[in-house]
Amino acid sequence: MADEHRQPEVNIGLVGHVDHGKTTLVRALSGEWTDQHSEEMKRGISIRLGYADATLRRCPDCDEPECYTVAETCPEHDTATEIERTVSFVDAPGHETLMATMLSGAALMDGAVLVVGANEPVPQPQTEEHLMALDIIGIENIVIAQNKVDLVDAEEARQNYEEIQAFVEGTVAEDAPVVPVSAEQEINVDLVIDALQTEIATPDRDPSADPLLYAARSFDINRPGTEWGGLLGGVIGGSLVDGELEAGDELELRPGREVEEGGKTEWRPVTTDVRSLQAGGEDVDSASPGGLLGVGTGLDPSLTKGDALAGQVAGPPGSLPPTWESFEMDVDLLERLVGAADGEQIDDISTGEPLMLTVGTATTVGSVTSARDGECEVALKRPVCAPAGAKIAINRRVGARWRLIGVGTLTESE
Amino acid sequence: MKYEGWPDEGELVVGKVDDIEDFGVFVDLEQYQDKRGLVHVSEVASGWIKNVRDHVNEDQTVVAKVLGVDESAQQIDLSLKDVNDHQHSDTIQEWKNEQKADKWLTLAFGEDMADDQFRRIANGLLADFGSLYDGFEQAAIHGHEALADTALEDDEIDAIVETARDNVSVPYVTVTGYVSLQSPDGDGVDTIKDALQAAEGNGEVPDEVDLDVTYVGAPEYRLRVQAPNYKTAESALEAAGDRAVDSVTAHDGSGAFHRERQLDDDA
Repeated sequence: MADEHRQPEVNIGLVGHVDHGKTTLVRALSGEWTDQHSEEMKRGISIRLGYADATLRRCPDCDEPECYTVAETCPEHDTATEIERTVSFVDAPGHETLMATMLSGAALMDGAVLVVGANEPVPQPQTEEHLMALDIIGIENIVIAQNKVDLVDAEEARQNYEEIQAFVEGTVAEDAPVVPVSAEQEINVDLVIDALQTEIATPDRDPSADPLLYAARSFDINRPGTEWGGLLGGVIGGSLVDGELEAGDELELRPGREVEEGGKTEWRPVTTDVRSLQAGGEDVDSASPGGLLGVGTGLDPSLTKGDALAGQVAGPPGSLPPTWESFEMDVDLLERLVGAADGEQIDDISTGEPLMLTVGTATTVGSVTSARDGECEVALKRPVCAPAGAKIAINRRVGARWRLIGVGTLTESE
Repeated sequence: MKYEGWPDEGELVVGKVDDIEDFGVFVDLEQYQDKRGLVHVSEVASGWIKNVRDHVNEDQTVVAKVLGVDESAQQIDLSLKDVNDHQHSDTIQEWKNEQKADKWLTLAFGEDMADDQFRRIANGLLADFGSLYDGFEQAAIHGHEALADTALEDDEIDAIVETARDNVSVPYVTVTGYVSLQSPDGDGVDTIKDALQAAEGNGEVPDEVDLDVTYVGAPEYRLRVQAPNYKTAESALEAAGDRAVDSVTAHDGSGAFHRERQLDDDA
């Protein structure tokens, strides 16, 4: 008999270099393949954030760590396994050109698994860049999965392990356990679950606080051929970081939508109502923080299709932080460019240069209007909703792509 | 039903080959009571004819053109060679349709209906529609309204409409258009649904028009109209598009009607 539905209580990111096996590890832990987009299937890489829930279980008759599994029945003792907790995996793309998507996903993570391929030298460019991003965003609960150990011999695996240890020294992942695993062969999945249980605790949350939802995706779920009577409103996909959300609740979305009036453009919040909630792939009446949530709204689906509302912040009207069209931030630049072979020095931010900024799940481009030592002002192409003190990932155009150069702290507007 | 009069010159008639002679072919006219015509050997086919039997067989159903009628001599001159393939198939189809319509009249009023009633009803339909079949077809499409101006009694109209609706397969045309609809409101999906309901006509669309409104990919919605002819279909399609656009713009949304899709499926 299937267990009662459990809403995920924690979000765990999977980060690391392209093709090191993040999506395969999610599949081993959840049974779900998170690459659903046609282009992802075709190219074999993750493009958008992928989501999958997994219920972590233990067999009462097995010793630790072998007792941990995702199976409902222990294959060794043929006994029913007990639920430990349900977690939600956020599978971020590892390809260098999709760094902004990874950063927006990091805002939803309570902890992370850094996936490192045992069959390649450490660190690969995005391994380094993603670890730096976790550091910047303040994610300290980390497990390192040394994946693809089935493709190397024992000596190569040991050498790769030492490279990992040397690489994480002095970083936020310095004390993170390194678990050898083969996601493809599903070897040592029990050890990964054990590490997740030990290292990434469910955060304490305040259910009485105003609900606050970070939107990472948005969709139109209607199928072609649907008769008008069966038309459903747009869906927002994201994570509730505070409070509880119920069907029927009123929601304000900020920065909202762009409105052109009298020759000038402004952004106005959008207010709608919650018509349905889906957590862990099932319809629910209410949702609490943790896991990834699908919020069915009363919005015209053309407003939500194709991730059009990704980066928005939602909550009860009047409860949200301000919307910024420009702001000041304190800047803490990295010493060198991570992920680059030569690790070149990072120059100071200069007035007039464009920066790509990730604030929460929102990614926007800003033009620097003034830059001083350790702080700068930026005018944003697309506004963001964030509280003062919010962390900002700062990316600079280097060659043909955006590279992570530092972290900002939002102080105030112009 | 067979006509009692004579065919007109130039008319296309259906007949059955009765007798084949060296000088020509005798044909019994299927649509006319006790009428027989002659196809002279020179009118059987184009070119030189060695043997008439190479071109026609006894009991063969043919379509002939009436070249001339001499009522006093009880003579009808016919031509087979002046009838092209298209005319042949159309005339055969019309004749078959009339035979069907004959049966439908019997179905509507029973085997034992009096000859004079049969003749009166048939002539009434012929006078207004040109053929029995067209009368039944219009009754199937438009119902009682189609027969309102005929000299038929109400109960006779009821019987014809009921029989027509049970038996006539109406030739419909289908036209498709699209509306792009957007609403910025918090309950925008309801505004869109109201607009699409308005497009469907809220019950005000005529009986002969079938209107279907479906989603194809926001902000586009497909309007599909089936109607007895293109003029009616096009008019119903544009009216549906206008109703949807008027409805959405009345609620601060935006809308436009267009004939082709504006977006790709994966847009």
